[in-house]
Parts: sequence; structure tokens; C-alpha cells
Amino acid sequence: MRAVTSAVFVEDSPRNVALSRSPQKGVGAVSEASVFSHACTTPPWRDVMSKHVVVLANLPDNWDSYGASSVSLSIANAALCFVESVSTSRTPQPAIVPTNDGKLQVEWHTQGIDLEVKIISQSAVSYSLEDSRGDFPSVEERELRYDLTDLQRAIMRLTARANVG
Amino acid sequence: MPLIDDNSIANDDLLLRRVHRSQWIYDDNLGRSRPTSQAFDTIEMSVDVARIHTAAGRPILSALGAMPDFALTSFQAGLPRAHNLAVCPDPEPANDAHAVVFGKKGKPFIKEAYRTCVWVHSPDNVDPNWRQPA
Repeated sequence: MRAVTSAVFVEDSPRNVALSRSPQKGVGAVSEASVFSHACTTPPWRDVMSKHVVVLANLPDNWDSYGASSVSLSIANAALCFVESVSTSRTPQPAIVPTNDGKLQVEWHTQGIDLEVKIISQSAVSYSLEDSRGDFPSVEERELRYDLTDLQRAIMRLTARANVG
Repeated sequence: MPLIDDNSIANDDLLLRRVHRSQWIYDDNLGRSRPTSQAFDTIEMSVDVARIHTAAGRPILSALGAMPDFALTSFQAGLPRAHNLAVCPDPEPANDAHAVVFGKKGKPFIKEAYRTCVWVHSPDNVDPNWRQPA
């Protein structure tokens, strides 16, 4: 969780602005700033997504009938943390699916972008990216630790495309 | 131990794979539902050979068993072979149609599989409301 959280607190994140001000403005200001930031950036599908991840975390072993492992709580938490960290109020809702090795994968297939992010651990993800409009070079599979900037850029672009028309 | 490709399963044989509801997604780019890529990303991918079910007088939906939360998708055996994967009969006591698609699944195979596979029993057949929030 530490790596994913810290990695997404980069310059373009509205949430980072609120959180970075917090220590300087006292307890009351911290609360107001955090609530304001939360209201401005929280996607409308956040609660639905959280409930869905809880369902996935409760799948038993062999949930796919082919011997899949159950999803660990730490992976579920890491996935929620990742999604919340990279999303704004306008980000299209991703799909979150379990993998047969007990991980979770976050997927967007919209606006010509196919982006799949597998949550490997609390500090690592791997992703693949394909953009039919050619704004991004295809990435077949790449593992990231700590710096999710490239990934954020793709998510910001698909968010922008989704809100253009 | 690696499994060896067996041409007793022909390239045009239809292979059936169950897809749990948690792995159904709606792909806006394709404009339809499909299995997630993760439904195909396993070294030993179990499938049923449709022809063996029908030859035994069983409907191919018998590959679903009595599992209510599963859709059933299909692709031809020639697809994995085109990606250098082995297709091997692997009959089990309770399922003589069982087979395995063996080998590490690269992204090119996985993408072609999820883009070209055909639902035999679609998510909408299982649950017309599956895309609604829980």
C-alpha cells in the first residue's frame, strides 16, 4: 500500500494538494481540506466498486472451478488503494476482476484504450496498454514499482476522452 | 511436465471454457460483453472438447455442469496452436471431454482469444441484470 499510495501523489493529483497542505493548517483545516478534496475527486462509482471488491475478496478457493486461489485481503486493499488514487470524479469506472493466482486486475476498455493493470502486491503492479488512436505506444507487459506516472498519464487521457463528447 | 500436442483434437474442434461471473466484463471498445483476459491466462488451461460431449449424446452445455454462476465461451483448437500452444486430451473420470491447452499464454494469444471467442452460454443468459451494480 505504501508504494502505490506514495506513487500516485504526484504533481497532477488534486488529492495531493489537499493532503500536502494538511500538516500546515491545523486539525480543523486538515479535516475541511480533506473533505473538500474528497468530494471533488471521488468517483461516483467508488462505493459500488468497494462493495464489488469485498465480494471478490470473499470468493472461496476454486471459485473458477479450475482451481483458482482466493483473493487475499492485502491484494484487495491494494487494488482499492490503487483505483482510488488514480481516479478522479470523471474517470470512467474500471472493471475489477480476480485472477487465478489470487490477484486482482483493474481494467479499462473504453475510448479506444485497452488498459489492464494487475495488482501484484502492495508495492507493485504490471500493466498492458493499447491505444487504437495511437496517442500511446503499445505496452505488452511492464512491471512498475513506486512510479506510476506513465500509467496515470494513460488514465488521465482516457478520462479526458470520456469527458469530451 | 510439458504436455504434447495431440492432433486427435482437430483444429476446427470447438473448445469450451467456463467463465465465472466475476470474470465477465463489458468492453466498450468492442461494444459487447466478453471474458476478461484473465480467463485465458493460465499455463494449463482446462477446456472441454464440444465434439466429445455431442458424440456421447450430451448437450455441449453439459460442460457447465450444475454451476449457476458460469457462462460458457468457445474457441477453435486451431487458435492456441497458431500461437505455439499444445492442445491435449486429458479425460477425467467424471468428464471424458476434458482437455488442456498447455503452455505459457502470451499477450498475443490472450488478446486474440478474448476478442474472437464466442459465447455458447452468455452472461445475459445466466443473469440479464449482471451489469447492474450489486
